[in-house]
Amino acid sequence: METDLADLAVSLARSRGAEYAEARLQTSWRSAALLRNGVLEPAEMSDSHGLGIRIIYNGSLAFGASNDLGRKSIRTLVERTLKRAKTSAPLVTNKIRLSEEVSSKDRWAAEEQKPLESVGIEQLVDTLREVDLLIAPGALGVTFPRRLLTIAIVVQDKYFTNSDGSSLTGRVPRAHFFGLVTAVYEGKATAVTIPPGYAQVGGSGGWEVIEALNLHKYVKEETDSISDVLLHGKSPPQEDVDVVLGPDVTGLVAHESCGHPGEADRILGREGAQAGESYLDSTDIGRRIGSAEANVVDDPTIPHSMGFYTYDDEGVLARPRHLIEGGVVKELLHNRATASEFGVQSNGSARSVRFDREPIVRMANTYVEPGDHSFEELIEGISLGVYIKSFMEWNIDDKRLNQRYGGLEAYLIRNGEVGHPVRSPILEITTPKLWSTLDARGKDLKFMAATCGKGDPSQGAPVWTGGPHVRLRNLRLKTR
Amino acid sequence: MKIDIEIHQVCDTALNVAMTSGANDVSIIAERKRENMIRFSNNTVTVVKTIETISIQAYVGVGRRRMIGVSSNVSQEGIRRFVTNLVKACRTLEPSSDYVALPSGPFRYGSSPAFDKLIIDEDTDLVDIVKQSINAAIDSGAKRASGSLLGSDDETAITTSAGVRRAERSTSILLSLRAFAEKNASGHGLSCSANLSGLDAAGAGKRAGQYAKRALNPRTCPEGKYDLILTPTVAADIFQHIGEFASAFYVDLGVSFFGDMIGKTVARDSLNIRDRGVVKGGFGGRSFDDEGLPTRETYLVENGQAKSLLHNNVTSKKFATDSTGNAGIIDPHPWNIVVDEGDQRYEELVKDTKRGIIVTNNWYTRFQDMRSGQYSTLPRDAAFMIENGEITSPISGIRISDSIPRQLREIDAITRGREWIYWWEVRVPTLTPAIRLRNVPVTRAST
Repeated sequence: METDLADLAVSLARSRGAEYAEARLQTSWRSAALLRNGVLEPAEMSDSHGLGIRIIYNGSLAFGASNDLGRKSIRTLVERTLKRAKTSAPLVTNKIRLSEEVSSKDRWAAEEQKPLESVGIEQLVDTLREVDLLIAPGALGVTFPRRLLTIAIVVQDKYFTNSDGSSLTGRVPRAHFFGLVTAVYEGKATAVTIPPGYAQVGGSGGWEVIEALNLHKYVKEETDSISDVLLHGKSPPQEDVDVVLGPDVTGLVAHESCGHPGEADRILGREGAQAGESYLDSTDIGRRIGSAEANVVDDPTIPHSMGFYTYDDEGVLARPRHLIEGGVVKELLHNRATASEFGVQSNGSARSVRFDREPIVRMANTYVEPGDHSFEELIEGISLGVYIKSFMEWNIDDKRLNQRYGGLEAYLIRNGEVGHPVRSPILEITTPKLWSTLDARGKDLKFMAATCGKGDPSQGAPVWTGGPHVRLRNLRLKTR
Repeated sequence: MKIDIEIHQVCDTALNVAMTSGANDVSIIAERKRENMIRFSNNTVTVVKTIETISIQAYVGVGRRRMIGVSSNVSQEGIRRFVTNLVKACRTLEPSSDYVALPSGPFRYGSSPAFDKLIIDEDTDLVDIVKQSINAAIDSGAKRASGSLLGSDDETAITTSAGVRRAERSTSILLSLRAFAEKNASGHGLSCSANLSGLDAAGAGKRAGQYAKRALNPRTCPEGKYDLILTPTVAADIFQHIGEFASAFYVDLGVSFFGDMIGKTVARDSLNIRDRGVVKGGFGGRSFDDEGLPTRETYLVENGQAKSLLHNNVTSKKFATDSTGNAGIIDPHPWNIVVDEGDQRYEELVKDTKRGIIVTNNWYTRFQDMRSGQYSTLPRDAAFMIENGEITSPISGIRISDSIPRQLREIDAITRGREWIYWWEVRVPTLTPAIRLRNVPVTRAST
């Protein structure tokens, strides 16, 4: 990596009067295979390489990026970015300040046993083909004649430096699987994703990430479960029921209704016209939003996680963030600018997905902390309930109050036993109600991979969402 | 418009490397993008961005094997390494039964998208444009405004081994603004254009501010079925999804609600939905697709009948038809969605609605089942209840839960006049009027 170019950008900006400057040299390499109905689509091998800089001049923040990496071009980039910071000054009424943070010089990397660079495209294809052959015939009277399966592997290397003296080199390899299939049964057809909910399975690390997924077993189990629900699913009960959410749903709930509203930049209104704002206010630390069982953490330091990093993209050391503790808002997600506005330290939440994207406040791996119940203990006292194991459709309003999860794999619970499949139960509920009806958490913990959207231009950030099985009391479900 | 010679040089270099490495079918697209963005919130600029990138997309076929890649390392050495590795990796693959050679050119192309150098001119005061829009929002009743202004300049060139060579340069300027009269009372305004003179920053700000003011003190609205009047911003979300699901790739995959509709009457005969590569007076799109074919006009729905899918050279062979010039190497995609205007005035629509809701913006559209088109989406910003032909109050906290095929059947009114829509939620440039849908299920969260 041409680290000297990043250093040059920072020193140039400072010498031209910037009060702060940072530069991030970022390289990504990606390889992917796509199998459609058993036929290989054009395989992919891509790379991206460039420099992103941020400059603060008299309180005006400017971001610039280029992949023209000559010394002359870097000078032009710095001059242009600086000029834009200056020209925007008349409309900057709230000057940008950054929190004071410890500067660091370090090298860091996600654990990787079987390097992804040595994985050939044919290895991706072979893995997909084995899975495809297994699910194509279908089972239980449901066939999957149309299938799209993909594995992608991505390696990201970064060099970060700033005018506070930080100098960091980081590396994260990631791998993930995704499938989209059409299930045909009884003359009908339904499109579902594997995993459900347009999510992925995967994490950071080498090829061992894909091996650990045991895709043959996982995908077969998913298609069998989906088949059972499609063939035998009955409408959910119309009266109030207890609801048990599987980890896939729990994780999504944590991400959407705790993680996003806890992003300090949203609370300050910075995403107002795009991803939206938050039902939380800047004074809401300590506000109760749920029962004592509501405990949500976002932690970038989980080994092998999709959202893994050791330092964020402002050079701040990452650590777990306890967003909700005992039902009370404990901490928000901060970058250095929001931390400065709130008068706190950054908790290392600034992320950028490419060299040409500005680092903004993001989640990493958001999850509900496990409790102490076994699955049997969670359901044993339920006289009538629904176990929603996975979902397809979901959405939430832009203040993160009004949300909906459309169940895919779901089952009736009667007298403490899991019974027949339930078709399309819909949980449509406000955030306070959801978290206040949570009365027990399982001791299991499972994560799913996902791509979180935010920013303008949009940035899809790799994350994990996770949690245990959880129990919610006395809710009315809907159906389609 | 003069094209920077570097763009074609990049294409030529990549093509030569691919051919000498043994590829028999090659398409190279080089793109240079210059973007200037101003983001603002609470009436203050939060960040300005200048992004300048050049990249190549290379598709190579080697003896019925296929690979594709994108690289941002466009130095001579970078291109050589990238393309050589692509061809080398391609050799390791199995031959594809779906292989189709690239279409043989040269071709005659239609007009390129519009270009206005003022959008990227150093002297153009983007900050002043933002200021105009914020001031208009405040003057119209908002307390604060957030949003983004993005000026883009795209140079794109294609060279293929089948005799295609074409380049064009286009610009766009996009303003998306959200005004707040209170935390729970907001309005959205939008202006999109290929020319600086076509941008109506003050108009977008004014509309957002007016909506925000009218959205103050919203009441709750019971669940049930309502007639919905969707402004162009919301209608565009439905129509962009029709464009996306008209891709033959998704139809072949069995996951598209649109595939089952072809040849059938799916809406009243006043509904016409077209995809167009380039729209005069519009923005976005291209005169050529990723396989080098000229883009064109394709009716997705004509006089209420579902007419055509969107194809590239590969899917068209599979469906025994011609490409519609919508490649994507892997999946065909829409360029611009154009919906014909109707003959009703917006005010007449309101007057003619007994129990309805005006939805001015929406987001977070998600499908429970893409095959049936079952989905839900969240109205955001101002929404208004209509009772007996009168707008009676702002409302909030609702969700639309329906299916797109059903909604197509239930479009009973289309207004005169159209708007270009393109923003965070609508990613296919869409020119559409407002529409009314009958009997749409509206739900709300339990509290």
